[in-house]
Amino acid sequence: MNSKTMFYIVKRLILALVTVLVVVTVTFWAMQAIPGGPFNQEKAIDPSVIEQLNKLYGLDQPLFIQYLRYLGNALVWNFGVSLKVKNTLIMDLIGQNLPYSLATGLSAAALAIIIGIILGSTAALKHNKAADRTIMVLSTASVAMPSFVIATLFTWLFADTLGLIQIGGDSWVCYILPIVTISLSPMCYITRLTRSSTLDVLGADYIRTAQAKGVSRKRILFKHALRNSVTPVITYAGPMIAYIITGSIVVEQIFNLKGLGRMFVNSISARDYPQVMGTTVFLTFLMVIMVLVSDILYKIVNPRVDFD
Amino acid sequence: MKLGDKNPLSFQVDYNSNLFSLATRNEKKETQLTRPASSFLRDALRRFRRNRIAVICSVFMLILILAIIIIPFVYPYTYDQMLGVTKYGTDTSFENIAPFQYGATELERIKAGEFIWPHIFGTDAHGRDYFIRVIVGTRISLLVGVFAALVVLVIGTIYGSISGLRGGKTDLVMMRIVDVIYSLPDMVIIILLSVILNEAFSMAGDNPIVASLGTNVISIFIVFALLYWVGMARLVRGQILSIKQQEFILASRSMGASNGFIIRKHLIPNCVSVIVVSAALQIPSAIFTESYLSFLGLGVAKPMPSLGSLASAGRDAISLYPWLMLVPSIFIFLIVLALNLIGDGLRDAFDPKQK
Repeated sequence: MNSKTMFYIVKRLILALVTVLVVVTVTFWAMQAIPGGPFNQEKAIDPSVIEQLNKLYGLDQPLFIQYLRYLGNALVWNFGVSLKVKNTLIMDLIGQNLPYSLATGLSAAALAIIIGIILGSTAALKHNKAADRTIMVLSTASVAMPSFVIATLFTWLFADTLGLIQIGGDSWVCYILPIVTISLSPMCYITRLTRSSTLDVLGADYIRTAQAKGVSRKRILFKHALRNSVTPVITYAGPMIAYIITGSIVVEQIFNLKGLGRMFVNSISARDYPQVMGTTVFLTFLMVIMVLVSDILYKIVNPRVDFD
Repeated sequence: MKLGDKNPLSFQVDYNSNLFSLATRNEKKETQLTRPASSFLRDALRRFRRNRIAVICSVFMLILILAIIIIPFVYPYTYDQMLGVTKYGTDTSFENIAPFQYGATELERIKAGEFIWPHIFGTDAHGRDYFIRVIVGTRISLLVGVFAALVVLVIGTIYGSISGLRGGKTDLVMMRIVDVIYSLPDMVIIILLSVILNEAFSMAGDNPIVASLGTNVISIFIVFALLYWVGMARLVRGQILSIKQQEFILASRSMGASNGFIIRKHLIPNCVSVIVVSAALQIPSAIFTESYLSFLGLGVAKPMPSLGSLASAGRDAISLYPWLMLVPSIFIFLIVLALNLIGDGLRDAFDPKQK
């Protein structure tokens, strides 16, 4: 690793920090823009009680002091307490739901990468043949459907009509459909990415050299072509994580699964603002880290790439 | 020495006027270029026309756009008309009618020999004609898409070109801002902003513009204006930076062209294709975003329909009345597919390397 790469990594780290800072700032001031305090209720409460509550939560301080405190708390993962779920820290709620989302999201990412690379390289090898055409048509068509439509059609077909799968259970069978739904769109993107990069690589001189040497087709594909054609997929890892996070918001709702996405949607409909803000900051953090890691990884794997 | 006087041993051909004759008109014509000089735009159009899929998609979109403009004026039902509601009470036989079926009173009128316009896609749970709702929904979804793309186009182009033209420190600072916005999780931020803007607008009271559009649509535009322009800005800046360094700009400058001339005659024409393609692909993305927000209950205001809100409302009764979900979903599918393919076709047509 040379000093240029180090410089790049440091630059990206600073950028990531600034991004998280911006999100924390935006969420804080956005929370201030929402009319009404957290203790406003239908029933009138004694003003002195509200005053006590405000004092307890530090809401009597000037806004700027509150902002600094929010910032400091966010640094140590403290987003305050939920307004609707009694006596629970938002961080605990996130901690309870994260494992479910992580399991679904990582499986979906793995599925998308594996199937995407297989389909993409198949299409490239069968360039302009029936298999290639079919794969391209399918991958173009399936990104034109919103994920909630696909999810609903899946539940209708597999659960309501065929009765194969139950919705909203805890067994692993219930996770098949959600994982497939979430992975569909990234899978199509990876398929196209792998196809075009494999086509590029297959036209390269060193592949012709290998062919001339009499290396078998299989060996050329796995030893020579795939190693180079798969690297662009790494750059897509960041956007894919972002897609999976948003995809899970819809899919968890429709398939009635536990997870961060459903928690986020529920907190919106319950107007539990501290929870909305906490989840936003957390998801941003997650995504910034993933993008950072994937970019740095790509830089290390492929040192020829110059990002600026 | 006169022409014709030459060394008798010379092999030189003796050019005198007898060797030449005047060209006929036909011969003159033959020397002209058979193909007229074609402009960049005409070339692109020719390439686009050769792309059969893109042409079919364009025709489809044209027909659809004509349909959504004309049909609401001539159709006998309106999108918010509850057919079952009379002054004597609500006739439930009008709710969730299957395609090409009729409500109870309509059947009586048909028996009496009257012509009743069929409900092509049936009716929804409130007894509203679904065909007109889907048509109006398409209109609103497309409008949201086009306006969002315009917002992105204007902000992104201005920002990107300032950054690219100024260069230096200005560029550095402007691009770091873009980097930060670029790495935000867009959907999460969109949801957050929609929620907050909703609250803010609902407190602002009865603004006529807000009331007619619904707070959510305005939120979508604001969100696009705040977040989605960064991709366009990056693209325009990159394009300008690469053109700025090419020789023909230097040549133009050395001949004394002013900055304004260079921008108008060289930079803008060379950026237009990139901008058009990116804006075209922005429309389906905005339609998607709108349908997604509709699913979360943050879409257009009721009773106004959008394709996304129709599809997500249809979800609840999918096993009983599947067409309520399927019809708008198919419309979303076809529109997004067509726009994506048109965008791809435009990109191929505008790419001079393809020539």
